[in-house]
Amino acid sequence: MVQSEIWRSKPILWRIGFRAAIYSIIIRALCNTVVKPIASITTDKQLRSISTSNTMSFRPLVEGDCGGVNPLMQLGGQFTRDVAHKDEGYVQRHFERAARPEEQLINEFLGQVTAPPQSFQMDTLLQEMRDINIHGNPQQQMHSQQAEQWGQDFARGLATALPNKMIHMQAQQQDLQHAQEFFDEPLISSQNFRSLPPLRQPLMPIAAGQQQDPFFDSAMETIITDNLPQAAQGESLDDWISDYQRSTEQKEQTAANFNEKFWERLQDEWQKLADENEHPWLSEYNDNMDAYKEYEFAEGNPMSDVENPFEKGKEYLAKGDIPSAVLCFEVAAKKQPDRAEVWQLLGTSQTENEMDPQAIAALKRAYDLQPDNQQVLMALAACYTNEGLQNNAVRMLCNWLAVHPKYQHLVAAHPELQAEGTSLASSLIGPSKLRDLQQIYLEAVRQHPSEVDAEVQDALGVLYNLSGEFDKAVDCYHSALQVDPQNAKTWNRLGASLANGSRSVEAVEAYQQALQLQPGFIRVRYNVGVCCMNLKAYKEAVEHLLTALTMQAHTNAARELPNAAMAATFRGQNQMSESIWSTLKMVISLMGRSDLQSHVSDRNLAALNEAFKD
Amino acid sequence: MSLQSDAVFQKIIDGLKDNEAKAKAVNGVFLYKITKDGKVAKEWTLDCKNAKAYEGPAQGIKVDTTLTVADEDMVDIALGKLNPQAAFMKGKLKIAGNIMLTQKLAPLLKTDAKL
Repeated sequence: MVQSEIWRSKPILWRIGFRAAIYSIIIRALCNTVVKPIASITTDKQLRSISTSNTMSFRPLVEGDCGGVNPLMQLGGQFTRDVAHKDEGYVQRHFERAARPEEQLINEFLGQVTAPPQSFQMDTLLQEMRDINIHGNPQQQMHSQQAEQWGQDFARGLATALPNKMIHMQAQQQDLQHAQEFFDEPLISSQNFRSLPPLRQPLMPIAAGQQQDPFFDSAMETIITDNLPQAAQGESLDDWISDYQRSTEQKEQTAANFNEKFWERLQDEWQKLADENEHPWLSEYNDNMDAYKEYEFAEGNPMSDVENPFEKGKEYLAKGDIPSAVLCFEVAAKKQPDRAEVWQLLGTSQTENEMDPQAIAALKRAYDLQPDNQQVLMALAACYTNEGLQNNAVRMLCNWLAVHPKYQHLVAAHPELQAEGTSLASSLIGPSKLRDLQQIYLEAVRQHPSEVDAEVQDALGVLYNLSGEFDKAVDCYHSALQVDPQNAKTWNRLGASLANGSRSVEAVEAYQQALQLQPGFIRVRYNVGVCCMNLKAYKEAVEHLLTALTMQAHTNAARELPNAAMAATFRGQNQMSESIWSTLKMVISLMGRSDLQSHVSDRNLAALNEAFKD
Repeated sequence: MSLQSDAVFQKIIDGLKDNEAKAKAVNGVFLYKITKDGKVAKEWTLDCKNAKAYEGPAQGIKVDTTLTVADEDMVDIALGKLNPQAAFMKGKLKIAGNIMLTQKLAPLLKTDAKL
């Protein structure tokens, strides 16, 4: 019985065993197909998460509170993104997209470079040197903060335990030296530099995850060894910090010294040239100055017989008719050449009439008669800026501040600004002088932080136009407009700053505001024409320019006069701006209308108006 | 053959006449080679020492700087849409000779909005 039972159970056993065997095979096969891919996927995910966190980690770098955007890091970000998936054979289409905005990269890079004459980073170094002297060492505070941060991060990292990493540890001294060398690389400016230490900080959280990426091994080494001193002896970290500070200060010192010496040598060279022989530059410079000396009066001025031309001129200004006002003021100036206010109004009207050379001549007469007239100084500064005569503009703004009762003391504190006769050529100035003046104006602004002084903002805006920092100029004019939103001149300056900063579309809006307030503002109309040309809207540009010219050529004054004979003969040819004509010429060429070129050279306004009537 | 940059150079010629002193302050002789479709189409000489500008190679004077640029890019530079530095870095503007002089030239070329 038992045998038979046993005999019957054997096949059962075999069947069970057989089934078990088959099942195990199946399961193993399944495991192989399922589990392995899962395992590999996790490593892939990790890789991906590393790379994204890699790139992500650079984000806080760039957008965080370290010294500004570092274009190198952005470039780095682009690169790491691309390399990440190369192993998977994943064709990175993004790289193509990244390659095209090389232009974008270049533009970003250039966007952070300041205008050429002042692009010395040594200049910012000088500035920082001064700041350090004034405010104590900011780097020190930052580094003590960073040290704490590192300490905390390190403690966190330790908690998640990386025992195997510790094994890689070499002697502390060696890696410390490695860190030291890392920082001792030649630096250009401490700004770029400040962004490097935070680099190490975000890499810490990554360490928490397990991976076998060799890049992070080495990075981890340096981080951990840097922080080890913190755990072991707090003092050596402080030593390292102070060493680093000292080395940067030394570098800045040498850079600043070099800058000073360079400029001194340059000045000496120029002085020598001036003494030796009449260097052509200098004689030209003098001639240039004299070019603005004499004001050219209009011939056959129809307003010559008017009673009290000065008052008449002011009436026209109030009505917004600038060219007529100019004619009246000219008569007044001829009659009473010793009245400063006449020259002053003549000058300012000519600026609004888009006749800067004449304006400068008139304003200089006013300045000679009244050297402490603030409006004259400001107007002269703007004109010189338009003509590209930097040094003169800076001098005018310096004087403006010096005669202002509220801010005189600021200038008195900086006597080196007042020293004239050191710089020789008018368009190139020492970059420090412009900077210094900007700083002083900023101090003036800070004196009354709650209320905005529109005039100071105006002057500061002109200064920023000089240095090519148009966005800052735009901010200044926005502040000035808060005080006085009905000032057409301020709107014009805002528009000009926008246009010169290549923000043409916004500029047009600002100009529109100005024209609404003062439709007869010739200069604004000229600026709008230039803007349209830059936006390649040639037809609109021509229309605006022609409107301006027509307003200048056919003044109301000539028409309203009782003296009909004189009015008829007055052709008003000299009343039209050279700058408007030359720009008109350019636009007509760009349009391709060479048939109209002859009209332009003949200054035949009537024919041109006819051509563009519709 | 008429190029778009002819307008630019016409304006420069006029500008030089009005602003002789400013031109002489630059004190350089520039040769512009304007290219169209990759080949040099025209040459313009900008003689700041004598405040003259004319078509063709320099006559009787040594050229300080030679600039090679395409027609459209020349117009953009004059309009202020293309920064000469940017153009140089992108390779759209090739400069041979005294590069510093071109920086002085830039304000002469561009039409500025007036403050």
